[in-house]
Amino acid sequence: MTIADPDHSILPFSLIVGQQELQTALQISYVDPGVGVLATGGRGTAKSTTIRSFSRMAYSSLPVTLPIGATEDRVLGGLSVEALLRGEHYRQPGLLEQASESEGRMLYIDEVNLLDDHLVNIILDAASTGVLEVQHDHVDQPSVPVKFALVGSMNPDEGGLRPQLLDRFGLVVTVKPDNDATYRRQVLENVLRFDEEFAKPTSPYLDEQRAMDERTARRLKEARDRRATVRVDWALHACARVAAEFELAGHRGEIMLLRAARALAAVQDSDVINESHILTAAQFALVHRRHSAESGTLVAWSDDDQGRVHQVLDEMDKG
Amino acid sequence: MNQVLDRFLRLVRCLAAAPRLHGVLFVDLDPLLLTAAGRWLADCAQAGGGGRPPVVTLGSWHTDDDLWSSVKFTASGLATGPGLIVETGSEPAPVFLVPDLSTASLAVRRAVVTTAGADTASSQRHGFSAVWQPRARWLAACHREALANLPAHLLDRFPIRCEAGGIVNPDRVSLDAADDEYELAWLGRLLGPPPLTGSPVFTAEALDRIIELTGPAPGMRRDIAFGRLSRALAACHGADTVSVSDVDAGAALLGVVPDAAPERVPDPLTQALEPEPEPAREIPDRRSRTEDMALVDGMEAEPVPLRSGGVPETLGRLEHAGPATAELFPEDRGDALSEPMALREWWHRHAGSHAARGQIIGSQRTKSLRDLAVLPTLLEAAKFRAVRSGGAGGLVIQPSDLRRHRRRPEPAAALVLVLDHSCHRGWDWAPALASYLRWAYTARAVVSLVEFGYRSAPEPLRADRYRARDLLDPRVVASLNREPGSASPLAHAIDLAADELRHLLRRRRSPVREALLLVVTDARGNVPFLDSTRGAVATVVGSRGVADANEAAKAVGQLRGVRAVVLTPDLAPYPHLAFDLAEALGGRVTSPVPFADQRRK
Repeated sequence: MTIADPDHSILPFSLIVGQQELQTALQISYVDPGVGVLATGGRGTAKSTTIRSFSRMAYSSLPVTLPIGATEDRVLGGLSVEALLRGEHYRQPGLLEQASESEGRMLYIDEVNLLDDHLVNIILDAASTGVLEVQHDHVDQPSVPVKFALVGSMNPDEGGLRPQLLDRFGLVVTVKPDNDATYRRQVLENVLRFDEEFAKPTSPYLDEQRAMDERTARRLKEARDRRATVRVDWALHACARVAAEFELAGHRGEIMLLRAARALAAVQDSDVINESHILTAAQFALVHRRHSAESGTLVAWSDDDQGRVHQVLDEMDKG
Repeated sequence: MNQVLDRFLRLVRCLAAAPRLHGVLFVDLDPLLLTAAGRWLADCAQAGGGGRPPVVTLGSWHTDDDLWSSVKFTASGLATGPGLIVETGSEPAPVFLVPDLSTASLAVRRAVVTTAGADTASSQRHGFSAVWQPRARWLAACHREALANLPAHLLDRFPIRCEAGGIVNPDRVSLDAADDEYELAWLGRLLGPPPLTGSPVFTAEALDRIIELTGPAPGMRRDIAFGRLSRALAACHGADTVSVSDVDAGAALLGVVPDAAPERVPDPLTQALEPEPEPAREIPDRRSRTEDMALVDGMEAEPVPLRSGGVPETLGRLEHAGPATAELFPEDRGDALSEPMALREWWHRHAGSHAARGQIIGSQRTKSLRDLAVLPTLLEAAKFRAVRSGGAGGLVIQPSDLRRHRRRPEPAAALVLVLDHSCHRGWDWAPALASYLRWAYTARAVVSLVEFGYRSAPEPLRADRYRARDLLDPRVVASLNREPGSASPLAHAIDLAADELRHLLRRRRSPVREALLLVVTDARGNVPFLDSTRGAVATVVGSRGVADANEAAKAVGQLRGVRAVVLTPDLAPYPHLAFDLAEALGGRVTSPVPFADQRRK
């Protein structure tokens, strides 16, 4: 049941002010749908608004959303309760399948750090195997392939994520509040103007914003189509060396770094990955994979970290 | 007109005028007035057409199963549907009342965080699925002392807060059963007819003014809520634009004042009544607007005391009138001690026999009959009734239908801390207390604190007592740092501590398994027990204060499961007193510096 058309209550993406890092990460995730994003930051920093607004701009719909109070049957799928009460029985797909079949292949979890542990386990199982096999609640479901990118938002005041779940997010963006008065005024103006226009039966202003969103979506779609043609040969070695420098466990870190850099190159209409793409992607792809993040508490990406990436790339140039 | 009441009424009217202003948190408000305000908002919505919205009270008893989905009996059997929190397109937006946010269940708190002011919300429970745009209004209340203990994440959903303690109906004359309705009608009359609604356009100056007034703050919610409040004020008087005067009126309503330029922020209400030219800005029709703010005949807009300066860095330039109002945003303080991770499902405090005694917060699948949740089990079986019996037979319960209660974990440990501030001279008790407090924290112990002998004690001849949910309650920190006084009603304190221990060990639904009584004193009680109860010292005290304390302590010694410790300063001139007290308590004495040698003397 979808009520009161919540799609239309979302601020158009063109009215989002700032949030450049989160916008970049979401663009990467769109261009390479296998790369998920976690937005972490203090209260009132428009993390979820930006993600929903991006989804509506890019996919023309809100993301499939897993609320923190969801029950197992709705996550995994199960018999339709309404049908059962009528004496019928058929299977109702769960959110994991819905996300896998949606255009964005995105499963969005707001307040992901408040999610119950047993739901986290289900998501980890499905995300790691790429297969959903349900045999419970009178359901004997053959293996269904599920492929989705995890996108989440959270306020670290309420605790961190288990390292296993954190690792499932391809990129992590720390959203910081911007106290610049000009920025704040622009945010205020956009939100209050949206309130005003939203209350009107028709709004040329909102039509114009949505037209801008459509142009952005077209541009991103072109980038997605271009992604496969971006050359990765040099960057392959560079990403491996950066991963070695940070002593990352496993290979997910360098793979995500490479995929993010390639997507970024596509967004920027480049046919080859260059240093700046890796430098930008590294802060999102590695911040939660360093040894310092093993406790689940996220340590901010520092200038020193960025300097280490720079140094590795410089040494490669010289070599 | 009482200033507090005036602000309360205006804010409620603003809620009716501005749909996007999703809620207000009132501090120390009488819950009955919250109900009245909710009813009035529902009346306003009904008067605007579209039916009367439901007014739903949410409290400590609500679980996720109540809020997000429902299974109801119908003429044809059972039907699934939306829970209390879910908004349907066919009904007007509900009004949610939370009479005490501090005692609201975890499910309610999480619902507030995920839906209040959100652009979308989603419910996915027990086969029910819904996505909607939340339009509900939230009216919440909270006691001042509990405010600082609430999670910042939850408080952030209420950027508009208002002091509302002490609102009383001056015409209230009787205490009969009809009083509640009388109060509701009284407030309804004060709130008056529904306000004008609309969506006035902001002037550039008004936007600048909001930014100027709020300054740096955590996130943007307060700026936006402030803007919406200003717009509601403009809408109430039928304006097409939101001007600087509306913003200033909103600031006055919230008690906000900029610290940098007090000369630019005269009392907006007073100024509006005696308008002065302001060449830099165009403020049309200022007088009439402010007059329109008067809610009903006879109500005068009282000036709000504004002050400036001395604002902590973390507050930015957002300051509130008076020290009490400044405490409305405790989460901004650098030393704020809200409960950590308070919105997550709790860790188990203990397991075993006590696990089946906590408050019920939901149900979950089970394979045994222990602590069976009968109704959820029956409902689970009922879903399959038609399938299992072909639609004609009775209810068939299979093992897979069994559900047991999910219960809120109860504290397994308790710390009863008795602080004698009169002995806190010339020594630092923090190092000596540290190991006990650390234990209380790691054991997630519930804390009862009994204190006396401090300079600002409201009744020096008596001990005070309060219960804190855990050690992080800001009152505990305050208690540990009081100035010493002279009176020492130790006997009264021990009596209170014994009562606390009885409560914790026997009377609660889930008694604690381990209780630590820590008495920090030099044991020189100088107020006899009877004098404490009378509130006056009648005759020469002599040693009666000490004797009464030891007598009261014997009651503790009879309790099982209590570990008693007397922590006494090594400066105590009569060290044997502490040993006598410990003996009566059935405990032991500890001191920062062992003074066994002194005792032998």
